[in-house]
Amino acid sequence: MVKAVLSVAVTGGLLWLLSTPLGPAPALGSFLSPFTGFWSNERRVDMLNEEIHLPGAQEEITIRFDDNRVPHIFAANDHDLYYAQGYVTARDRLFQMELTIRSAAGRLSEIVGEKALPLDLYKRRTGSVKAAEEAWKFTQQDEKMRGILEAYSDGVNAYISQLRKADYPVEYKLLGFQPEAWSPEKSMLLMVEMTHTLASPRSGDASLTSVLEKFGLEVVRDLYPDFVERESPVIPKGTAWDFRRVAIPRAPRDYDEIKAGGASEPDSWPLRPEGIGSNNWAVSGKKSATGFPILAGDPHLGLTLPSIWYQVQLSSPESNACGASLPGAPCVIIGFNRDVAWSETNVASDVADLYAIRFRDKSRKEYFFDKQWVKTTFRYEEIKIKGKPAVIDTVAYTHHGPVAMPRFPEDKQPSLALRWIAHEPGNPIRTFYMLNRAKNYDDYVRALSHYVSPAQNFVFASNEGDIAIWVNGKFPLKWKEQGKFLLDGTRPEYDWQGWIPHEQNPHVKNPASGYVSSANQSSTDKTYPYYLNWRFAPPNRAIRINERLAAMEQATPDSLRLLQNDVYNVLGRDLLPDLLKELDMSALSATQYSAYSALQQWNYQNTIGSVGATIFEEWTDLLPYFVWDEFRTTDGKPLQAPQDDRVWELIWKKKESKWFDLEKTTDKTETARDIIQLSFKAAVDSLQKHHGAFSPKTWAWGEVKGSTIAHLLPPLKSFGRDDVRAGGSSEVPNAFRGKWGPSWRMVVALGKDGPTAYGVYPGGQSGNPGSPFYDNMVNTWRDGRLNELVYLKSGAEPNPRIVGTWKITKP
Amino acid sequence: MSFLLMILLSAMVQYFLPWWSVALVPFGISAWKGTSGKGAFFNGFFSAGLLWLGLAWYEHQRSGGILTERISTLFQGAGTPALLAATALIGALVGGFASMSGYFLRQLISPQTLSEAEKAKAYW
Repeated sequence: MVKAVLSVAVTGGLLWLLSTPLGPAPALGSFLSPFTGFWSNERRVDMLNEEIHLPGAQEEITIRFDDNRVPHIFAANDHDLYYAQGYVTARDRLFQMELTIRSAAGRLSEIVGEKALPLDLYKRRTGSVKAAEEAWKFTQQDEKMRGILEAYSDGVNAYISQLRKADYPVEYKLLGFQPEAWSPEKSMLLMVEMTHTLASPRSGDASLTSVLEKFGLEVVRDLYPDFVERESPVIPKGTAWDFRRVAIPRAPRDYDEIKAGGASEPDSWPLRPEGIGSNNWAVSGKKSATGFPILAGDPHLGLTLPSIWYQVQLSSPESNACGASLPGAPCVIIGFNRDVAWSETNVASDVADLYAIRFRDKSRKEYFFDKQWVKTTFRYEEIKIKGKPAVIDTVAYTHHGPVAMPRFPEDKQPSLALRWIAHEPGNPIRTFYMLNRAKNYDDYVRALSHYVSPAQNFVFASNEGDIAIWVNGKFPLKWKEQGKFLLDGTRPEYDWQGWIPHEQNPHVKNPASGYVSSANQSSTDKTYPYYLNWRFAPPNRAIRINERLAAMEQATPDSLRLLQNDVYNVLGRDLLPDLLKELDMSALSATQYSAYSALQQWNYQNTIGSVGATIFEEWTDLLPYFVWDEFRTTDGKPLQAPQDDRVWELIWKKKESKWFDLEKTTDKTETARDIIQLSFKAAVDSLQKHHGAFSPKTWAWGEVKGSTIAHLLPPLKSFGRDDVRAGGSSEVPNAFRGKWGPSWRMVVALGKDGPTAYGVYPGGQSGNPGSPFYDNMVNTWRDGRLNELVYLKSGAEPNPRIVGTWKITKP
Repeated sequence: MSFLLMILLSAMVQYFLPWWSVALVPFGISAWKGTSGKGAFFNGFFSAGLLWLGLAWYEHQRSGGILTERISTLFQGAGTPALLAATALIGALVGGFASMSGYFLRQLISPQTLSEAEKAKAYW
């Protein structure tokens, strides 16, 4: 009796213990069982030759895999093409797709627990899901796109539905949850998430209003100018605007009198790091060796494993596109077809504005607008939390948009509603669908006209010899500086009052220079009649790229590849001599002198071995903090400081500026010279503190700058790489700096009978950390090499790099 | 005999059912044919342990062990042998105790006494 009870109790206890997650570790029983656990994830690594029966296939679909496991899909119609894309993408990237969507929808807490709650709340209050719902409603009016998004979704679900638990990607087993069915709305949500990343609601309106309150409009105009002097804009200076501009709304006279009342964007709102963006360019036939244009693109995004991109070739009787896709969305996003090539970089247009809302009372049921009380609507957001009761957040919606920062009367701060381009219904997949099929410049422009957000510089080249770039997206028709500060939500003249007509978006076709380019810098010079934003990425990458392109002759794909990997620091060239000549040599310690010598010998290259690069980067990081010591609120919080370029201009032109004077030294008036000296010493101290005594080894740029490409769940350290030593900086064309960098490098040389294309991204096609194809392209990327891309003209074309074939048919 | 049966049946059951099904077959077979508490325990312990060890080892070999390496690093850098041992031990413990429970419960409900000769036969 006792024995029976005891042994049953021990067995029960064991089963219970092994079924319970222990802290961050998964429940061990299921995780370690070779039948259900991670061991079985090693099984699906390579399935090369298969016959697969899927209910959704209308005709026979062929998928051929090349030696990097890129799928080349051949289908008889659009439905099968995107059905297969969904299926094969899910096969390789299911967990990534799910995580991205859960993050976008504010549903992370459900799988990782309470720590994700601030991020989830942010996504709910900025109305991501509502934006996706409306985009899907809007897209369904387009019968063709509806069909494609549904086919893609069906393909993903066909894959999910045949999975046994043992087949779930290992991350599901680690976190202990199950794949959820896909839907077209989720593809739309992915697009909203891209807008979050590239045109985020945190554009500093509230912080800059605090600056305005403290210093006044005069100072703001001076320190936060709408144009940077050194700029080399996307649309070359002097390009004529061949259109009649529409009437621009007039700015309210008192727009600078708004008070922030201490409001600032919450710290839980993710901030986009300055200077992180992308490059793209195209050279015309007259600059190339073949006489046909060559196009290059490298979008800079967060570098993760698995990578944000997934290579694919999509071929049907009427189209044959190839390039990089986003797991979760149909079509090729950056790529080429037989006749044309295209790539995108981000446009930093101001498409997210915060409106101060006056609610009638605590209930938030009515707000004041245009001299009357207007009703709000409410959306109830239930946030499920792993291991905790759910949280309900009620988000009020005004006609501006969701009240993203709710305040209550007792706070004496305004509630802030968000007017954001992501809420403007769009049909983004239509643009990419048409680009995948474009044959010439006119097709490209027609494709772009459907695009809403996030606004992108679309560079283009065709085998008819055209090159072009469009600053493209739906841009609100703003009065000058509208949305630079908080906007008064009670008055209609503060609303967005229309749109810049698409054909008047800044663009240039076949400029005399023989090249077009962009690197997130200002879209235009001062002559463009409309206001897009006051702040863009610093001009350094653009200056370097344009200097190189201007000098380029007889270009080959390799010339463009070299420019993608260029680490020449123009800011160093333009600024460092002016800094060094201000240093007082007699006041330097031995270490400081060594640092000085290293800088003097620096060739302005941000290579991994360079010590000069390390010191220059640290120095120019710290210097602005010394200049903007005045930029704090009364309670000591930092105010949004001016852009770094303003500091360099003061050093070049106005060394006696009052901003160099330090507040804390009341008996002394500092000038640029003092600040340069102080910040230099601080930089050397800081490097010593973090990297030890000065030595060419420990202070080498490659050691200091960060070399990690982490898994999507960074605590899973061994799923990432921390040994990716490569040169770069946010201010050189090869913008690799720690977690951010060139996420897909592509070079396409167009030709009469089709292109020759090259590409690489720092990752691998498989999302399975047990696969050799999980990170096999990282080293190629790190070394600055590109893979020649396999581009098949037909499903039967022999190619030595094809290693396997799937046949998909109806059961 | 019951040992081999345990391995074969258990493999089939675990292919279709969740991980805790590792307890089912040892429990059932020992309830049916178990001859002693100790014997039942060891039958369950070694059948489940060997099965888990064998299959884990097979998957590890077949794939080149990339994932084993990553997972063992996640578990405080335990190393592949330790991960295999932990897997085998967990399977073995659950199998062993489940098997013993089967035998003792059976004894509780309908006790069976065997002659020495029958015991010897069952053993072989």
